[in-house]
Amino acid sequence: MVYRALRRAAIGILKLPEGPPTPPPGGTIVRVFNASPRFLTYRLLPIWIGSGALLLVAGALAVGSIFEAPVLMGVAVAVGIVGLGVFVVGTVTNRLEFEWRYYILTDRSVRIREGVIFLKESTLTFANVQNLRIRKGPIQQLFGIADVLVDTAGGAGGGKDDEGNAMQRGHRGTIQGIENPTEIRDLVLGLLRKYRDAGLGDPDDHSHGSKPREEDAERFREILAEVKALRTALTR
Amino acid sequence: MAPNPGGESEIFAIQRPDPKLLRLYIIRCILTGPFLPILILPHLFRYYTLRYRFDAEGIGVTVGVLFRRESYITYTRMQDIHLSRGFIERWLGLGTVEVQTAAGSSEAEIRIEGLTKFNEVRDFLYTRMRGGGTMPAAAKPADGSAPVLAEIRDELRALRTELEKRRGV
Repeated sequence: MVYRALRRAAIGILKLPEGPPTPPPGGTIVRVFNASPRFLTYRLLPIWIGSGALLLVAGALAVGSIFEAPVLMGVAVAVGIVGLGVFVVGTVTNRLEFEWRYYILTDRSVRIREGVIFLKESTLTFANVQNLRIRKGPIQQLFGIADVLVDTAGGAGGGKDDEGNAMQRGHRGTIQGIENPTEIRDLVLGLLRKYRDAGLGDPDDHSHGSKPREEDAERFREILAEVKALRTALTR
Repeated sequence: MAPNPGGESEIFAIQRPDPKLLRLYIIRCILTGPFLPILILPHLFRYYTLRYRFDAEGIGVTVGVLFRRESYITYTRMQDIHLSRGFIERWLGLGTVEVQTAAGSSEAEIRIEGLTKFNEVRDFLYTRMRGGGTMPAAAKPADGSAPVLAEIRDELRALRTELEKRRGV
C-alpha cells in the first residue's frame, strides 16, 4: 500500500535503528512493552482534525473561486497541499514514533525510547527515583490511557511547563500512553522497594557500611563483657 | 562489573569528539539559512575547544575560548542518562550522551557530543552510576553483632532476676 511504501522510505531516510533499544547492561529484564495502540489514535486525532480543517478551507476557497475571484483557486491549491502534507507527514511520523517507542523495565532501572526525528533513550536507575505518579488528562481518559511519570531529583527548570512536555526533559521519565498504568506503577513500586535508600540520601551509605558495623560489634562485645562482670560482682 | 575491560580503556582514552561532529555543526548551521555566518563561528570555536576527560571518579567537559566552561560530574552523582540521536547525527553515525545530576536545571549538566561509541559510553556510565552497576546492599549485612546483642540481653535479664531475688530476700 501507499503507507507501506511511505513507511519504508521514511525508515530509510530517517535511518531508524532496528528492533528495540539495547537494555541496560547487568540486571535482569522485568518487562519490555510499548504504548497502547489507542495512544497512536490519541496522537493522530489532532493531526486529522488539523489537516481536515485545512482541506475544508481549501474546498471552500475552491468553491469561492468559481463564483468570485479566480485568484482564490491558487490559494485553495496551496492550502490543500499544506493540508495534505500535514496529513501525510503527521500520520507517517506518528505511526513510526509509536512503533519505535519502547519501555524497558529491568530490576534496577527503566529505559524509555521515544521520538522519530530526534530519537532519545533515557535511562533512570531506581536508586535515584524520588517520585512515581500517574497522570491522566480528560482526553486520555476518553481513550482509556494514562502516563506513568518517574521522577528523579532536581527541578524541571523555569521555562518548561510541568505537565505538558512530551520529551524526556529534565529529571523525569514518562511512560506515555499505556492502558494499565496502575499495574505498571505497582510493578515499578515493587522494584523500587528493593532500594530502601531510593531517592536522595547519603549515596555512600552502603559502600562503606561494613567497617563501622564491625566496630559496632566490637563495642557490643565490650558491653557484654562489662555486663557479665557486673553480674558476677553481684552474685558473689 | 565491567564486562569488557578493553572497551573501558577505549572510553578512558576519549578526549576529543569525533571529527564528524564538525560536519554536523556545519550542516546544522547551513540549515539555519541566513544565520549561517552568525552561528558558524561559535560552533567552530566550540568544536575546536571541546575536551572530554573520563577518569576513575567522574567525567569532565571543557569548552570555550573567551568564556571557558569546565564541568565535572562524579559518576555516583549522576541521576539520568539520556542518549539522543537526531536524524543528521544518525546519518553521520554520531550520538550525544547527556548526563544530569540532581541540580535544579532541566538542561543536562554535561553533554558529551560527537560520540561514535555512544552505546559503550552509555553502558560505561550506567555501570558506574548509583544503582546501575551494583544491586543494593542487603538491608543488614550479617556482621556477628546479632548473637552478641542476644547474649547481652540474656546477661541483663539474668542480672535483673538476680537483683529481684536479692530484694525479695
